[in-house]
This record gives sequence, C-alpha cells and structure tokens, in this order.
Amino acid sequence: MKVLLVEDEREMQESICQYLETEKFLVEVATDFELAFEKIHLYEYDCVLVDITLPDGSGLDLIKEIKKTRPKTGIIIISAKNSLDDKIDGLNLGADDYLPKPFYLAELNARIKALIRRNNFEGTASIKINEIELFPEERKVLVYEKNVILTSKEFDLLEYFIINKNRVIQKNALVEHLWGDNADQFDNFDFIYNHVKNLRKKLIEANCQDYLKSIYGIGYSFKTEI
Amino acid sequence: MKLITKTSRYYILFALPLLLIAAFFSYLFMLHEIGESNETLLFSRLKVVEKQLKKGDSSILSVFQENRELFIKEIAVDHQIEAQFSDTLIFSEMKAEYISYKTLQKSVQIDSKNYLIQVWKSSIEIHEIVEVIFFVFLSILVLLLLTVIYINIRISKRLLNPFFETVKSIKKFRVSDGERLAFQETTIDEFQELNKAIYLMTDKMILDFSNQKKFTENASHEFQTPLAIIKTKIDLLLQSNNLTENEMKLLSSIDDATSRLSKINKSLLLLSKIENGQFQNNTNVFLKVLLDNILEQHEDYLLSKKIEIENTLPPDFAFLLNEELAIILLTNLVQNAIRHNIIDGKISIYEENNIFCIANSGNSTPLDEKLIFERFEKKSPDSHSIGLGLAIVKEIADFNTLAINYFYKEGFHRFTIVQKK
Repeated sequence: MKVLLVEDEREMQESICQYLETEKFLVEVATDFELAFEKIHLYEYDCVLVDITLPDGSGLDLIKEIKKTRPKTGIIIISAKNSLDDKIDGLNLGADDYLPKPFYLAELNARIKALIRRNNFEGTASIKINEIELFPEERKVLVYEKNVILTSKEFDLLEYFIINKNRVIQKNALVEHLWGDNADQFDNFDFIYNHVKNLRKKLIEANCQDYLKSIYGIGYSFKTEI
Repeated sequence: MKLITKTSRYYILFALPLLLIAAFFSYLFMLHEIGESNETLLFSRLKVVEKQLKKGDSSILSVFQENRELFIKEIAVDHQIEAQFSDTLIFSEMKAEYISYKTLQKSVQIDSKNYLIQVWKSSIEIHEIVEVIFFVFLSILVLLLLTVIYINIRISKRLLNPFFETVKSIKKFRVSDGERLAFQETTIDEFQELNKAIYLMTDKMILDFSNQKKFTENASHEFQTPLAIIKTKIDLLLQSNNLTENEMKLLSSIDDATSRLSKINKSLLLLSKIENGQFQNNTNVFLKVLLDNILEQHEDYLLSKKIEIENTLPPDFAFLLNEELAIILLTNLVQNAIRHNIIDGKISIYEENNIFCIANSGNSTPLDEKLIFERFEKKSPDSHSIGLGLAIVKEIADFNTLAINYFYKEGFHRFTIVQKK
C-alpha cells in the first residue's frame, strides 16, 4: 500500500511516517506543493494525505490535480484549519475524507485503511485476524465462521481495535472515533468500559481468545502477538 | 430634537426681542409723526381763521364753532399771546368720556382789536396706536413663523436628503460584507466632507476586519499545528513497549491537557468567527430534527447518568439561523444540561408561547444569570469542560436576533430562547 503524505511540518511528517510504516504502509513524503505535484504525476498511490495550507500553494489545487490525473486515488485532507468551508470545498473537489488536526494516529490509520478498502475492493473485502473475520460493509462479525451479534457501537469498537491491533489506544481516541469531535467534553467515560466489557464478553462467549487488554487509566490494547 | 428645530428655535428666540424693540421704536416714531402732522394742521387752520377774520367773513367761522373746534374771544389790546400748543382733556358727549385734544392758541391783532384764537383737534389715543402696532407686529411674527416652518420642511426634505441617505447606508453597512458604501452625490460641502470621512473610515474598517480575520485564522492554524505535533509524539511514545504504568499515565495526562488546549483554541476561534459575522446563510432551521440527532449522539452520556429525556418540541418549531450555528447552539445547551445534571435526573425540552425551553434537574441553588454566560465561567469541577459552551450560546444568540434567558423554577434550571421579531 503506497501512501503519499503532503505535509510541510517536518515533525508531523516524522510522526505520521513512523506510525504508518509500522502498519506496513509505504509512505512517501512531499514537503511542498511543487514536489507533491511532481510525485502525483510520476507515481500511483493508494492514498494521498493532503494538508490544505502549504508554503507554496493550496492543498485544494492539489486535490483538483489528483482527481484529474489519477481519479481512483483516495484523498484524505488533514488540516489544522478545521473550517467547514474548507471541508466542504475539499469534499466537493473530490476528497474522500477530512481529518482536522490534531488527531490520533490510530484514527488516521483507521481512516486510511477504510478508504483503501472501499476504493480497492469496492468494500467487499473482509478483515481477517486469527479466528475473527470482520465484514465492514455488511457490519458482520464471524468468530470461527459463526456469527456474533454486536451492537453498532461494539462493532465500531472491534473494527477500530482490529485495525489498530497491538497498539496502545487511548480512551480519548475511542471517544473521538465513536462519538465524534464535539462529544468528548465530559469527564466521565464509564460507558466506554461498559461497551468494551460487553464486546469482550460476547467474543469470549463465542470462544474467541481474549485479545482485549485494558491499560488502567489510559485505554486499551488489542493484542494479537505476545 | 432635530437640528432644524433647534436652529429655528434660536431664530425665533432672537427675532422676538428684535421685533419688540422695533415695535417700541415704531410706536415712538408714529407718535412723533402724528403729533407733527396735528401741529401743521392746527397752524393752517389758525391761518384760515385769521384770514377770514381779516376779511370779516364769519360764515366759515360759525361752522368751525358749531363743530366746537374753534374758540374766538376779544381780549385786551396789549395782551399779546404767542402761538403755543397745549394738551387738554375735553369731555365728549358722544363717547361719554374725556378725550385728549391738542390745542393751539394765539392772539391776533385785527383792525386795532385783539382776538384770542384757539383751535383744537382730538389727538389719536395712545392705546389705539399700541393696538395697531401690536397687530402689525403680530402678523409679521406669524408670517415669520410660517416662513420658518415652510423652509424647515423644504430643507429637511431636500437639503438634508443626502445626509439622511448617508445615515441610511451607514446603518445598513456590515463590515463582514466587505462591500464599500455608495453615497448619493451632493453639492453641499459639509456633506461631501462627511461622506469622504466615512469612506475613509469604512475602508479602514474593512481592511482591519479582513486583516483580523486572517490573523485569527492563521493564529488558530499556527496553534493547532504544534498541538498536533505534541499529540502525535505522545501517541508514538505510548506505543513503545518498555514504558512503566506511571510513565504511561503521565503521557496520558499530557495528552488530555493538549486536547483541552486545542479545544479552547477552537472555541475561541468560533467565538471570533461569530462576532465577525462570518456565519451567514440564515435559513429556517427546524430544531426538533437537529435535537433528536444530538440527543442520539449523547445517548451514552444520558444513559450513564440515567437521565430521562422529555422532548415535546413540535416538529415545525424553527429559528431563522445558520444551520451550523444552530447545531452548535443546541449541542452546547444539551451538553450543559447533561453535565450539570444529577444521577437519575431529567432533561425536558419544550415550547411555550413560541419560546424554546430546555430545562434540567441539578444542583438546587439557582445560578447567577449575569455570570453564567461569561467566558471561562466554570461551575463544574469537570476538567473537560472549558467554560466556553454557554458563552458561545450567548454569542450565537446575540448575533442572530435571538434572546436567551436563564431562570430557576420548580427545581429545574431553565434556558429559554426566543426569536426577536
């Protein structure tokens, strides 16, 4: 999977690259508009991450260019502006997703994977990990080929855990992923424990291994390797 | 008071004493002139009488005497009397009152006889003159007033028209539109000067506004980027396998604080955007649909506090508002109602006389309605609350003809919003 990251902040680049590379992505970096322009004409990417504000141009123009030359490439806008106008403009130009900075790297990873899955396999692909098979489009989970009935929130949690397996996932990242950006204004996240607890119970009842480890005070980790 | 009324008032105020002084002098002048003409008349009458006496013709004299305007008497020859005027009062039988008369008497020597001739004429009475003058000047005053009123109407209609047009365009002026004002052409120097000054001022305002807009946007952008870097670094650090539990907790706390900083930054940017009127496109927003959505999003929060929801808002209840702002407004109110609620509490949303109301159970002491809408006025020890939610609600209301109020009644904290007509 090839990803092009168009981002002018070097520190930001490094963080994103480091995270994505451990997810087996091949990440290329363009620090400015000109370089990005060159790269999208030379190579084909599965996904391009575009920052709107670049030192020598607008990410929006870059989106136009990508749509013209490589219409199948997935595009995710990562912007610090978080203005609705930019979001609407970007999506209208053909971007697939919009992720305002700051974000959790796990979230970025989930968005990229979801996008590539949608683009490459028309969403029919399942995610398989050991005994669990997850069908994102049908929102169905099989454990040892047997259907496990999950609530909508439990399904989203499981998908997020599997996509970010063997990572430390913070509670806040889960809240942002499941309840949106403006929903995390509260201190009490007890209900997350409940959702996770129920998910875990259902998986264990289906004879699934107990992959979910809770890290007290921080969050969770879905450990498939010891 | 209108400028023109004020100037007219001064005009009349100064005209009044002037008219009084003029009336006084006219009176003196008239008195003098009438006196003089009376004297000439009496002199000429005396001449006629003298001539007739010399001729020995007494027919005319008898007419005069009949009219009681002449008195002739023979006096001692050596008694000479020079012509001399005097005033007397004579009783008039006709008017049954004393009337003032001017008298001229003189001795005349005719054929060695000496006669005293007295002629008199009733003088015009003072009160009659005063009356005449009073009426003349009163009519001048009335005419003057009418003229002033007429000129006023004309001036305020025509002369001041460019001024009123200017005022009208200033009232309509919105700096966020970024449009230059267009004033009516005028030939009046003062108004040209005014328009020029306003052009300068508004141009400066538009420029400042767009600069400030750019600044807030850039500032927010510049803030978010380092925050984003901090967050991703924490994220990466957390992934390293050799951290102790304590170290992980520290990192998580740093992450929490960074999130809050980012949220404050976003909220302040939102506030300045609302203040700058950068949210336009007001439409009729139906609140019920939005609320159902927001409540669904917050379902887990509601469940975790076991809060009962009662939403009786009619589906056609709408505010004229930008939809994005409407969502922010309702979300903040709902979050506020959840945050300050108690376990097993209740939130009730209803409409009453076209007023939207959201009420929540909670702490039983009423809040200070003056303070709750202040920025960073936190009532909750909840560290995730940044104390800007209600300030944003207030700001949205203020900039969109909505009136928001708070009161505490029957154990419920109630926020009401009504669209001002």
